[in-house]
Amino acid sequence: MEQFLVIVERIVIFSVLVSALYALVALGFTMIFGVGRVLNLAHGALLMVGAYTAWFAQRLGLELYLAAGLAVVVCALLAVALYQGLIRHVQHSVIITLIATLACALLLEEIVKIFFTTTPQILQPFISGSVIFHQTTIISNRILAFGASWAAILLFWIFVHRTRWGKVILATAQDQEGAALVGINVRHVYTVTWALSGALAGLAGVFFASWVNLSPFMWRDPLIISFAIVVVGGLGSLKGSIVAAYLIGFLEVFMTYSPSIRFCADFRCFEFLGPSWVGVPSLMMLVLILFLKPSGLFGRAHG
Amino acid sequence: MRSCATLMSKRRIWPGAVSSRAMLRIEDLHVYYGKAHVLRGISLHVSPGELVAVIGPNGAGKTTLFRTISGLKESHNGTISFQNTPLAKDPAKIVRVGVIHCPEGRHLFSDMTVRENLEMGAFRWDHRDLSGDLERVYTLFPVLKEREHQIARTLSGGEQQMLAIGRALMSRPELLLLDEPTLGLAPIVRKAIADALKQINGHGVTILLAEQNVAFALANAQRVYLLETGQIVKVGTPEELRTDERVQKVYLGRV
Repeated sequence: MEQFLVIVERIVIFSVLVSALYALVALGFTMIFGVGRVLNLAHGALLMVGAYTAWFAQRLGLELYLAAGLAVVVCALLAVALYQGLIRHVQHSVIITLIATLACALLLEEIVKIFFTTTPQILQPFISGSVIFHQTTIISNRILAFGASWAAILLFWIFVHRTRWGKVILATAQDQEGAALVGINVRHVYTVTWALSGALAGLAGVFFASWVNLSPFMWRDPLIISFAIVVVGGLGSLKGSIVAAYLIGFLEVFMTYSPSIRFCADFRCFEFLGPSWVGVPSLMMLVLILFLKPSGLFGRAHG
Repeated sequence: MRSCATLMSKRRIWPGAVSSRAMLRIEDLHVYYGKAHVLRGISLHVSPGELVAVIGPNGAGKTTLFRTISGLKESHNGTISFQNTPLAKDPAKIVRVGVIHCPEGRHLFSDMTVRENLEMGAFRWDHRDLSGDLERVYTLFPVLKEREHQIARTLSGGEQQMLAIGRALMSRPELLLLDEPTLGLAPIVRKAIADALKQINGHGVTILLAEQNVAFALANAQRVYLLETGQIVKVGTPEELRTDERVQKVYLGRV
């Protein structure tokens, strides 16, 4: 019984921590979709660039705080370059945009492979050590990632809902043509949202690296997470994204602790549920939501 | 330098003297959607203070004409000038010279309140002197004052149309392009819109109106262009169009 309670405690704590990071991972992705109706499949790759930038800068001897700042700036610039150089010209076609952004992600993967090989790398954490809460050991850096993620989300919310620039972004998101007709330069707004989305991806990348090792393939998980969160929460809805991030984060952590049923046939064994199924619930939920409520939990159908 | 400046100012006064009576002047405008030739050489003008209507059936090109003037659609040929200066191609710049387009379908910020929508209309002015402008719009459409904090999406069709016009007025137009303001509205609401148009025009705002509802256009405009399949086929006073045999048959349903 006590063992069971410990597991429940861990599931709760770890899912609360990781879900905040997931929300941050999806934030930039949601914003780009909400404002410009673009599904940026290179979002995960931007995260990867952020992680590698921070790691490389750290290897050159920079303090991690500065390295993280550099990652944020590099990703913001890269996102703007991506928008100005490519997306702007293909945005009118959903299919071409999907193919183009996926190609960019794969291109960035190749570039990382060439420069840093496929060897996994470790980003030294902001703070080392761990905290023991009750019967659960929590890595301190993950608590920091949790706090920073929530801080970034709240700052972002304040920016969008309480500043004039935020109002302009909201107006553009709600009606691009209406925005143009009151004199808003829609292309400037898009450029700013891409820069912001890139900056958020860079920041998320630095913290994501406190959960996983760096590798040229590390962009896939954050992209799938973003996609699932955004579809489940309702495309373009900030509140929905956060709720969905917590749902998916919880399911994933739950899966790591759930007992698995092992069954063997001839010389091969299979596991049903358990840690190896970690990636499944988010995708299952994505499919389920698309089937039951395509506009997402908090989304409205767009005309 | 000085003589050059004098020359410039003379050029603006002298040869422009005749045409300067037109606030908006469009010459030989051609617009395509892909391969479809939608506007086939449109020429028209609007003088300061006028209320001019463009009438014609669905698909004649009225909306395309308006979208081209406000920079949402690019033209292939022809010129559009405003106050004797060629109009920019960028919607944001066009708004800044005072040409304001209230589009068909309203294009409101549907998740914002009535007041927020009106405030966005003042974007051009950097949201300065809001209260006076708001007051004017609320006087024109008192229902918007009542609904001030309601989300735009939840308004009725007529209220949404009033909000769209109100938002356009917040940009302080010199020339107001009004595309189909009565589409789908009940007669009593149409009447309210017509009264508002008269008041707006009475305050010195020049209006170019696109209407499928020919009776509404003829009752409210001072001059009317009839647009059919991308060409102006008739222009005149409402009286001239009303007595035109073809207009009577096709558009007013009289035999």
